[in-house]
Amino acid sequence: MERKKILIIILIIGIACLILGPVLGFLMNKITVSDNSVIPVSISEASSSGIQDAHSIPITLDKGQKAIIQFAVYYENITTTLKIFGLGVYNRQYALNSAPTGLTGRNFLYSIFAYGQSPSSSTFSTNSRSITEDGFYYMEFAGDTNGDYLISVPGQYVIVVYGTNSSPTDTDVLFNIKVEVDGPGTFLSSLFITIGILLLVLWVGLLAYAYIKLLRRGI
Amino acid sequence: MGWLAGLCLYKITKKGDLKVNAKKDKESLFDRLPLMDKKRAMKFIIYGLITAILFGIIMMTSRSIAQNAGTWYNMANQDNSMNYWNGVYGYTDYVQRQQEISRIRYWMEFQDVIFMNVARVGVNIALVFVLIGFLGFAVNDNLDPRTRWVSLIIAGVILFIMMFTTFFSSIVVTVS
Repeated sequence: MERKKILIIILIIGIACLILGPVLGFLMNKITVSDNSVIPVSISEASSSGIQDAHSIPITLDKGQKAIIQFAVYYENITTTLKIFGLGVYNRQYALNSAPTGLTGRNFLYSIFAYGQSPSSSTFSTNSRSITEDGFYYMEFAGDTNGDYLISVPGQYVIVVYGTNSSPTDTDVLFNIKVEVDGPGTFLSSLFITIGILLLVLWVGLLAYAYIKLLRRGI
Repeated sequence: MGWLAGLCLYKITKKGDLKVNAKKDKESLFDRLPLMDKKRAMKFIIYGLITAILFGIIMMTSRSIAQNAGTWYNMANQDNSMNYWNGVYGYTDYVQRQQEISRIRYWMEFQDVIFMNVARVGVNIALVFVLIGFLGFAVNDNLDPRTRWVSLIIAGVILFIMMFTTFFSSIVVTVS
């Protein structure tokens, strides 16, 4: 009876791990750093002449970790630009209140998701991306790039967004941005699936052993 | 005093029995082989066949996975491309998944080497059981001579197959 209970518990835990693995993997795949994908961020036009007025999002990246930035503008008269700086460069320019327009950011990738086209021909590397009135960009950043591939350079970085409003009456610059970094989802998923498979193998083994023991009458 | 003598005699008798039993247990398989009864021989054959079938299933599954690795690879790559085009993930994730898909494909092909060799050893061990079972039939005096001859021939065929599968690795039987 006890053995039967243990077998049932092992089976339930094994199946639970196999189900939990992909679910946890999906939920923990990305960690949201900042989410303004619905409610837009509002900054002043002065952001293009002084970095202190620009919108900044600090991120920390480990080795092999990357940031996903979804950057969009859906508002009339507005032009916004996104650049990424290392924390050292940003702090120095912040102290000087330099104009971000003259600064060179670090390289990142952006994709245009052209359906049917080879992914390598619809991904580009750049150090700044601007949107005027309407547009959306899906960007990836890990420190640097080599062609269309990311290079992982662990460290602290700051995503800076600045812009202008060409309206004669309005000076607000609106945009939407969502920043996520890689989470432990893949690791957790693999871990749970491995545990689940091992438990099921153990269950089958114990069941086979019990069955053989039951049948055994001495050859 | 009578009861004490009785107890000693009982003990001696029990010890004697134990010795006889211990001797019986020490008899090796080869000693018992000519005396193998029908039931025991049948058990050998059935257990051997079940084990051989189980290892055969492992062999077939492993070979099937390896042979279909290319088809799975194409499908997984197509899924990967479609996920990218649908904006589920970006280019770096696409490239990482592509590498992962290649790695899994290589494993699907390589596992065949491991499982086929394990299964081959398992099948041969199982065939030894079947062989012993048929030899048991062949040397059983209680069976009719024709059955014994047939059993001996089958045992010979099994031995022949075992030798071939052990010493030659590229035997292919095609059934279409």
